[in-house]
Amino acid sequence: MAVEQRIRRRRVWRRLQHGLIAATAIGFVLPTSGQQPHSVDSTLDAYHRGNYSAAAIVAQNESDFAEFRRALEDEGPAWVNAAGPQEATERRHVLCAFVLEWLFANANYWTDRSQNPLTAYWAAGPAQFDPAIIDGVDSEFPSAVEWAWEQSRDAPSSDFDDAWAFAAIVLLWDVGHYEFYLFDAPYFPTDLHTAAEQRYGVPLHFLERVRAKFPDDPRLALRASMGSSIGIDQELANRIGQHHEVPYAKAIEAIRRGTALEEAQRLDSRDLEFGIADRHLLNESDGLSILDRVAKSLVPFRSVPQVRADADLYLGMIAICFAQHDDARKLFDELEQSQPTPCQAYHARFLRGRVDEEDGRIEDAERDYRQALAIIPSAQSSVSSLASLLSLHDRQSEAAALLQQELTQPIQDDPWGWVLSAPCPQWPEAIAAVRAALK
Amino acid sequence: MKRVPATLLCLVLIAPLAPRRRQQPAFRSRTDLVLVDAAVLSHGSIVKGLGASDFELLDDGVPQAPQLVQGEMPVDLTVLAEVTPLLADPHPFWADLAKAEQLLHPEDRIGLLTFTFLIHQDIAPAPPPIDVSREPLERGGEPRLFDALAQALMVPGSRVASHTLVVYTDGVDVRSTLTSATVLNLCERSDARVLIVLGDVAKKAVPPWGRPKPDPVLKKLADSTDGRIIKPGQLASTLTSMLAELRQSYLFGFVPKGVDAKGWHTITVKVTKPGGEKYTVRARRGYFGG
Repeated sequence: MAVEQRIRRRRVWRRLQHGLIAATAIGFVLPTSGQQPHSVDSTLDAYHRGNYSAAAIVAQNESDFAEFRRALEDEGPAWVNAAGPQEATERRHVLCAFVLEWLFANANYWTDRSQNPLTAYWAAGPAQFDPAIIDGVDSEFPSAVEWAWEQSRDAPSSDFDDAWAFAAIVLLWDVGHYEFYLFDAPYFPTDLHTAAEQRYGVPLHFLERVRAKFPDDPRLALRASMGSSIGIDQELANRIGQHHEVPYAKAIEAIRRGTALEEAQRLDSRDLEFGIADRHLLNESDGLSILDRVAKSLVPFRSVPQVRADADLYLGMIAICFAQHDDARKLFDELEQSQPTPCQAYHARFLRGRVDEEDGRIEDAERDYRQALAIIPSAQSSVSSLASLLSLHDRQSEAAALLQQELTQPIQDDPWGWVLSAPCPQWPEAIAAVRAALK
Repeated sequence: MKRVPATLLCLVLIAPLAPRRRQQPAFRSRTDLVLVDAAVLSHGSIVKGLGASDFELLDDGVPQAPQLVQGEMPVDLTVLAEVTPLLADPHPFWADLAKAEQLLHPEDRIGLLTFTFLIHQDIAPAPPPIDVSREPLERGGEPRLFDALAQALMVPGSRVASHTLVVYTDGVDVRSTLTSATVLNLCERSDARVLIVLGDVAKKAVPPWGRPKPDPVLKKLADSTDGRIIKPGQLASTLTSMLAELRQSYLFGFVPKGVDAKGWHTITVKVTKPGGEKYTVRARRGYFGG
């Protein structure tokens, strides 16, 4: 059975489940055969009433993303204007917020790597790149954000605009990051972006345009300063460590020696995707100089309270890349003194655990992992690391008890990796700010 | 778990050379008893007719006094299945698993873990039958194969059951926190026999430069545990032969002496009778002392 068919079959099942939930919780009409499951009006009304799960329910029930998007574009503006001028601004905000939540809920099904132009671009190499590959790009995701952006642009500048723009950045950076890179040429200024711009006529430089609207926002300035180098560099090191069965520190060392590209090329084809960043780094001949430059650009942000914790976290990660473990520990300690979000605090403590484990400081590593779990108890990254640490040091019973407790819990998200591909605070915090601004 | 009357336990322990017949799950209950299955092979064929005195059994290098036990060693079957939409049609695997489950006996146990980015216990270990007719829902997220393997290996098997881990995956890890080296280290402290059911990557998940290869760690896991790598659809037939071998194995019971009670215990079984060095002995590799 084709994957698409299976996904549709799952969605039929989910449609039943969520239809029941929706009917119970928010008074939706249970979908019946031959009917449009949810109208745009009823969905937006539900969202407007504060039922924020409406976006996820619709995303899981509708089998055709593009079709619902067209319905939103056709009927959304009419819904905004239906209540008169006074309420129109509020409704426009609701529409824009809904679009982000609906996109986020769809993100899990947005991973068709065979049509990913960025990976194709790097696989072929810049010299062999055929701009025709862009014809296969599904631009629905970023262009839906673009459309919502157009809707919000007419609204007066407000706290909502600020929160929405940042949430959009987080969304694109995180779950739609390929598209984000594609549509944000400053990070990867290549023929690919020129081709995309010509193909779609979509204005690029999303982040730059948001920055133009919020020139003083340090969160956006920090993102622009660091680009994507740190996260992907960490990830590449992780990959090399995993697949060559070498300790993380040795993988880092490969990057330090400038042999990471060579290492990446030895990996099999799937890892070329993770070699993207390294090619990006090594295209400038010295990856470390880029990290060094990013570190220097991050230092001033340590004096800006709003982004202090982010700067400390990223600088700590760079210190790990330079094998400066003591510096990393110090930065993570300072981060914890600066009222971090749970996501930031979790990563600082978890990464500290990895550093301590690498250094053979087993008791410290155990304490770090346990403290990380105290911050986000559902985080399987720390559970796995702690259980492995215990198990390898003849404490299997404790490891087993830890795993048993975790495996029987309802599935919850794990923040691991959020920070590698997207900013902290993450999506939950970003969308919470949007919802708060709606009220 | 029920306690077993001492007399029954004695019967189990002192019944060498009695005809092998289906054993009740009684010996799961004795906490200090360790059971070891040992298949003796000569050119791939099972060697029968050996007695307890033909064997030497070492627990962490310390000779023990095992008794040949009648009955069959129960099987703990853990199924670890990837449920990402990036894996090609999983239906043959689940259909085959339903057939494989019918091979289990009432004293055996089967449990189901699923994973993508997150790992979850869908079915806690329980005697068959379990309901695998409804396939688990796919979940999104980048798969953490190594983390899931590590977790499955870290769940300790029973001291009195043979542990088999069936792993259904396309072999592609994306976002694990643990490394393949850690997985192999953990495997050295596990008695699980690892059976890899290697699925295909879905067409839509194949990047432009070619189909991803399965991670080499899978072969190492299978090789180091006397397991195998098979295709979807081969699970039932493979388990049939594995279970047949297990059920024709010599079964030893012993209460460990002269070793620390806790931690990982490495088991070594040798055939000591003349010419025994020609045989291949396939025995459980060890157990957790609690």
